[in-house]
Amino acid sequence: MAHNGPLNSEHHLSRLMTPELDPTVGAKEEPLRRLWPAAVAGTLVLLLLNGQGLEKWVGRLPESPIANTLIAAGQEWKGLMDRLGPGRAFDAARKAFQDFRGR
Amino acid sequence: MLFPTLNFLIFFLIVLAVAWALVERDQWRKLFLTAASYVFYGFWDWRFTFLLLGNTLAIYAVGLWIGAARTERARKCAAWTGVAVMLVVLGFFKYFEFFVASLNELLRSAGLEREIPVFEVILPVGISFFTFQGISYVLDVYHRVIPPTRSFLDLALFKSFFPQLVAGPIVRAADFMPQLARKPDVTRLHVSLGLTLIVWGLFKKSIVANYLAIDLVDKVFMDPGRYGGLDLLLGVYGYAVQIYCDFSAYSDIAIGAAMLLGYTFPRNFDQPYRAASLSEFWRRWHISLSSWLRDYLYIPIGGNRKGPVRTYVNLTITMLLGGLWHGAAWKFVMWGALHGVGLAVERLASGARRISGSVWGPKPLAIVLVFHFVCLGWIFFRARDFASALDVIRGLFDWRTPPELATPLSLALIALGLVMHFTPRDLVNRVEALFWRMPAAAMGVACGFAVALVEAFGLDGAAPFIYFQF
Repeated sequence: MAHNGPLNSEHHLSRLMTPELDPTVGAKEEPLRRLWPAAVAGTLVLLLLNGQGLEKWVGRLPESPIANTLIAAGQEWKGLMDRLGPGRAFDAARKAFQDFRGR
Repeated sequence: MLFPTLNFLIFFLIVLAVAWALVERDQWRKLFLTAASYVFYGFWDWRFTFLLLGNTLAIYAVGLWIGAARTERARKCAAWTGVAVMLVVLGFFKYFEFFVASLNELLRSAGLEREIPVFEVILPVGISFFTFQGISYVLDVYHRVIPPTRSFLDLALFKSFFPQLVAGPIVRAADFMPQLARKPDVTRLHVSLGLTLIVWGLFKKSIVANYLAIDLVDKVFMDPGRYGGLDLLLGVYGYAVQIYCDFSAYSDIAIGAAMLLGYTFPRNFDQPYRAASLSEFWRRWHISLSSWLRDYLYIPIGGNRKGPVRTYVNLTITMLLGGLWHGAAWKFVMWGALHGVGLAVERLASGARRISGSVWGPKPLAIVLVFHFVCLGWIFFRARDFASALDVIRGLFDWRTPPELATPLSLALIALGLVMHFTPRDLVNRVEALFWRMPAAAMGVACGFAVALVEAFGLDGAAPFIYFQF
């Protein structure tokens, strides 16, 4: 039976890429703590730009005192982002795309 | 819980944070990931977590039984018992209604009035995927490709690991279990490649697949009689792009999410519409299923070892069952039969002409012809039923009605979906290579911007992935 034997699992990453561009070549192990900023920065950017999504998400939480606090916070956050600009930029991008769609 | 939703993002960020924090405590990490996977599955319907657990217990016991068996006959008996149990469970949930309804129709046509009662069976999401995964474990243990695992935790994580649980790729034990035996790798490479794949997948799903579905494909297939040939043709091309972008997006996000957690899955798609033959198409499309069917069905029933006629029969049987795997409906049987017969004829023609290239002609022509053959199959795959598929095919030749659905966005998305098949096959890696050189914070900012842009352009609400229904 043809199969992918255990040895092949060592080469999974190379199965996703061509050898000439494989960035594992010469790559050094990097401590995980140095990669945390990627997760934190990505989350912050999403919070800044997509206050609308956050507001909608908390709005769908089942009713409870905690949810009510979160809903109020979500609305406040969206309002703040709209006033500061990122929220408006998000809306403008959405509107431009929907205009193109409607043509 | 769907991938392109805030629910999943929050769930995934929590899982990622805890899994990374537990990187030095491997058993706890695996336990946490297993629990998180059950939460992910239970989010859809908690009752079916017991089905998943039962399935895992069954293959764990069968694995140990095969390992303890002293004779080859006993090993075989254990393996086939395990396979039979899983197929019976799959058959009950997936095919019970189809077979009873077909049987009732047969009885009616024979003049019998009494009918077998049909009751509605809820199809557990992902059952086709985790059943095939379980069968591969049992058969790999039986064929001594891997030893039976003694760690129930490892097996439970293998079976339930949430990135691939509901729509694949069908990850094999031989590929995944050895990764559980060592400390997981989470390097800068994993993070940059994982993020690139996730963003690329979100784009394909939220923009390309969703808009094509809503603005073009759903309309055409809902009422094919209303539209002219050009709209129907666009609808068929649109579906070819939609299903590729939808399903490959799921695979990309699954591979990316697993990679951020330190595990690697094999590639599931490789620019399938650039295939110059049907056999090449199946080496590029849903690779984990086609290779599963090859290794656990086509080869065991004889493959090409029993002469040319048996080879053609085996190919047809394999593809027919592959079609039926997608769903209990005649349209899927027809889709499988088309591919099975197509592969058999292709093999027959290449044998008769003794040529090394494609039997479909020079390469550019072969690519166009194979793509259109695949599109013909997609008509049956997508249509509501068999009769509706025939309506679409008939309508394709009626060009009197002017087109209504050819919007710039639909045309651009179809073009984009096809062009991405002819870009360098390592394009994602080239983008990833840019990511990889950035400082970690910049990598996160770029990724955040890209996701926010996809969210801004995407439709409100999340459409489920096509392969969730299988």
